[in-house]
Amino acid sequence: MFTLSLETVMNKKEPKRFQNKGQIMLKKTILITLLLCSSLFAIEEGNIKSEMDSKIQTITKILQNKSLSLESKKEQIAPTVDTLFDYKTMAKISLGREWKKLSSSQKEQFTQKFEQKLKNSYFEKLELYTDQKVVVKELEKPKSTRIYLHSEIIGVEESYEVIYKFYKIKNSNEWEIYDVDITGVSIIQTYRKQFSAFLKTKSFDELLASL
Amino acid sequence: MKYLYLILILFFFMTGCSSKHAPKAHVQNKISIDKSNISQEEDEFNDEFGDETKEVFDPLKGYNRIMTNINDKIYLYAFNPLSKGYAFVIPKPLRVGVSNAFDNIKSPIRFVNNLLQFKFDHSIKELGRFMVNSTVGVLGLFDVATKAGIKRYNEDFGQTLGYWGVGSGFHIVLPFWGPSNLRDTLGFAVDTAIAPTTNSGLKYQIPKNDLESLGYTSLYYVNKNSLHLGEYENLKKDALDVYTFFRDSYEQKRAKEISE
Repeated sequence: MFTLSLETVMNKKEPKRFQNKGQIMLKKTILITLLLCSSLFAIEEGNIKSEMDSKIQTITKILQNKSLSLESKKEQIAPTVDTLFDYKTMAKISLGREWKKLSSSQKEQFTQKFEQKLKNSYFEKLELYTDQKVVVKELEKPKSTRIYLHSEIIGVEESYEVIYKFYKIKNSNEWEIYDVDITGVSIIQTYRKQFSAFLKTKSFDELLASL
Repeated sequence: MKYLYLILILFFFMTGCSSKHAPKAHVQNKISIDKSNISQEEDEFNDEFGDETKEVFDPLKGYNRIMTNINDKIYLYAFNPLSKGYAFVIPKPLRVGVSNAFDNIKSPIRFVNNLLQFKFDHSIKELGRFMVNSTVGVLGLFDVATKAGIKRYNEDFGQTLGYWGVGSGFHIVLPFWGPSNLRDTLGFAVDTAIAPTTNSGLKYQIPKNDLESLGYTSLYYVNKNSLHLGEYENLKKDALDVYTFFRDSYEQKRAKEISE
C-alpha cells in the first residue's frame, strides 16, 4: 500500500514531460527496494523453527544480562521483535468485520495505534521476566497456509505453553506471525472481542483514543 | 457449607448444559461478488477467529461485574500487599519449596482426574511423580520429578466434567477466586472437598478444623501469588473492559485445557 501511494504522489508532483529514463529507473529502484524491505521480515517455511529459536535465544540472553538497564534491554530487543510480528495483519484481524467499514486513513491510524499498544503490552510483560527459560518445540501445520510453532516458557514452579501462529503471505513462500496464543488464550482473539464489544456502544474515534 | 454444594449441583444440572457447544463457525454471507486476494485472506481470518460480534450467554453479568470490582479491590489492597510482605520475609527458594509441597500433596487429585479422563499414561506419571517427590524430594519440597523430565499433568474435576461432555454453563465470578463458570465451580467444590489441605471430615486430610483449613488455603494462595507478583496488574492494562477481558480469557484457557 505504501509503495502504491508513493507512486501516485510522485506522479502528481512530476508532470510527465520532465520524466526522463533516469528518473524512471530511480523510481523503479526505490519501488523494488521498498518491496524487498517489506518482505525481509518474513521467514521461509523451512527456516521457521531455527530462526525463531535463534531469535528467542537472543531475546532471552538480552533479558538475562544483568548489566543492562531495563530501557536498554527494550531498545536492544525491539528490532528483533519487529521482525517477527506482522502488526498490520494483526490490526486487521483484531478489528474483524469493522475493518472493511473504515476509510484508508482510519485504517492507517488504527494500525499505528494498535502496533504501539501491542508493543507496549509486550514490553510491560518483559518487566515480569525473572529467570524463565524458553524452549522451542514442535511445528504444526493445521492447513496449507498456517503454521503453529509450539514453545514453552519454563518458570520455577510453573510453565506456560506459547504458540506462535504464522500465515503464508499470498503468492510467496514467506511466513509471518499473525497471532500468539498463551496458555490457550489468543491475544488477537481477545482484542477482537474487546474491540467488538467496545464498538457496540462507542465510536471508532473513542476506540482510537482509548488505545 | 454442605447445602451450598447441594444448591450448586442442583443449579448446575438445571442450567449447566444450556450453553453447551455454542456453534463457533460463523456462517458467512457470500454476497460480495468481487473478491480480491486480500479480501479472501481477510475472510479466511474472520472464519478462523469466528464471529466476534456474537455475545456469550451471560445472565449474571451485573453481579459478575460487581464481583470483579470487589475482587480487584481485595486483590490490590489486601491480598497483594500481604503477598509482597510475605515475599519480602521469605526467601524465594523456600517459597518455591512451599509451592512444590502443595502441588505434591495435591498430586492424588490430579491422579484421579487423569484416571477419570482415561489418560492412563498421565496418571501413572502423576503417581510416579508423587512417589519420587515425596521421598527423594523431601516431602515434596523439591520437584525432582520435573527436573528428571516427568512433567506435571494438571487436571481438575472441572476439566474432567468438560471431558465427559458437560458444557461450561454461564460465567460466574467467585468471591476471592475470580473467574469461573457453573461447571468449574462445581469442579472446584469437589476438588476442594477432597483435597488433603482442606477440612471436610475425611481421614487423610491434614487440617482438623475450619480454622486450620483456612490457614492452609491462605498459605497456598499467598505463597503462590508471591511467585507471580505484578502479573495481574500487568494483564489488566491490556483490557478495555476488565470484566469481559478476564471472562473471555478464562473461558478460552479452560476450553483449551479441556481439549487437551
